[in-house]
Amino acid sequence: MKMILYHFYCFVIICLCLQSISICAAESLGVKIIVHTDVNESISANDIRNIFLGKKTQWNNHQRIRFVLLTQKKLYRNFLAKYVGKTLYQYRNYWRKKVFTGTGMMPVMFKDCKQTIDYVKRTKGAITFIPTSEIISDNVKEITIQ
Amino acid sequence: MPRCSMVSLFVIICLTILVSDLTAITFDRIQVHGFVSQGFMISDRNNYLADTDDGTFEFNEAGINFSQNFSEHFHVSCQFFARDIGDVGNNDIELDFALADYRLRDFIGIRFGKIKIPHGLYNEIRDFDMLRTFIFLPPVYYDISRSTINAMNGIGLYGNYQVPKIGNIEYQLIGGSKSIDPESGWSRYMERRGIDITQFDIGFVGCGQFIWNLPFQGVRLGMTGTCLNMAADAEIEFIPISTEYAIAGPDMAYNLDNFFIHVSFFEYTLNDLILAFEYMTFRGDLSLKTLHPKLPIKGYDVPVRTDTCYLSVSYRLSDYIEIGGFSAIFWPDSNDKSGQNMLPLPDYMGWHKETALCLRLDINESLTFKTEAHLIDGGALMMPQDNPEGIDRRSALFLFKLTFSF
Repeated sequence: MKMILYHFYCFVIICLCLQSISICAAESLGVKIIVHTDVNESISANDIRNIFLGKKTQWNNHQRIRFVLLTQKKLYRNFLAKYVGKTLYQYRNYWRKKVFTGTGMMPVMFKDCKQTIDYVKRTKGAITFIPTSEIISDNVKEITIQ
Repeated sequence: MPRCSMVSLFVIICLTILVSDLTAITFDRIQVHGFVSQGFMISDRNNYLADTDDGTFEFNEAGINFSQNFSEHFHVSCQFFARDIGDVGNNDIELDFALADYRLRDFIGIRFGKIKIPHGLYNEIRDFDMLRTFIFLPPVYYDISRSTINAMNGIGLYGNYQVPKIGNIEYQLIGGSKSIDPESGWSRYMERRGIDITQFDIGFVGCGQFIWNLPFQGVRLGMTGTCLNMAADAEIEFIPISTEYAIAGPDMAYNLDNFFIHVSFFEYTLNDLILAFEYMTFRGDLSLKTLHPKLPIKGYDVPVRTDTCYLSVSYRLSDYIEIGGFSAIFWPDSNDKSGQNMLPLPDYMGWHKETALCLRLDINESLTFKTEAHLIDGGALMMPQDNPEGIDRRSALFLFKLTFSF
């Protein structure tokens, strides 16, 4: 019994040693929030958090909020850390829990920034996040978080 | 290694190679998600939930769910699930949930159908290995309770409300009924008391959950409660019944009235660190009455006073590795935590203390491998029917599990 425990703990320690713990600041990839032009209300940081957690589902005019995720890793991580307060893993698990309990469906997500912006352009009530360096055009506007 | 376990592992590996970047399958507007888990358990002394002292692969789960939005506010989803752990489940396919959900406003929505019961932090995800750190959850989610608190048929209200400076309040209230399989974990637990339950009859079931997400990021407090009355037919096993007292039908009536399960919980998340504490109480009035009018033993009235709590910590080291641990304690009778009233059984049958350490490897977004060690002191949750040669006070359990999900 003790030998089994000894070998188990050695295995765990070896795994931990082999895994390099990267302690580095998140790359400062600026994030901006954009919405479809028909969204005309001020939005707070709490609102952003609740929108992307599926807790705030309607704008003040009762129009359905349609949020979309841009899953470029560093940008995605930065957005989640800054606005949602979750890590990538925690956020994915949060939505998977909703799926596997029947209380929600997986959000719309794209890996490409252009596809994400196009989705917001054609979808009323849509909201997403993109890099600050990205240029936006008609039917989409950037909002300032209160 | 049993053939079915080899097949499970082969399927998991093939699926992983083919679909490592799969998050869902979509047919038109229907989303399809699913998972397959295969585990292995081995213990050094006591058999725990299955024949573990020789090692067993009788430890697997699989599920598939379908969901579709029909309008901006309305969606429908259902999930089929099968599991096998020892003698329970045996891979029988069951309808895990099937519900319709109409979200009127953020603060109110309606669900109806077969709905997962909110119980503590993790009950709704207890069957989905990929959604939690640990393979085996603490005794708050012990396997015997699954049949009682897994899901119910009914109608529920839910919602959340953002209160300035107070935080976000979430709630769920569900009322309805449920059925319990006589071959379930609860029946196995009653077998240790010499009662073989043959049929359950559950009356009204009500449950509620309130969660307060504090304005301090990462802190949430909550409470859940489930109440029901349970009646059952049972056969007496703890004494031999003379043919003089044999009757057609069950030997006794089993009634558990005013059954109330309460859980209070606290969770703190700081970046990759999650700290959780939960305390659960089971309360009820158990009444056993023999049905033959001339049987010498008429019945028992036994108050149920079970308590359990745990503290867990998990930390995500990277995208691929997470470690976790918990320390838990379970008392079947909170008025006898030292086990003094367990005579003629040894006093350690009056408690179950458990410490667990887990290592989780996320090989990719679809494939997860976990290894876990549990050190157990006490026999309160060991089944005599699994340990006919007696129950040792201390035992260790090792678990390995591979899960593919999409």
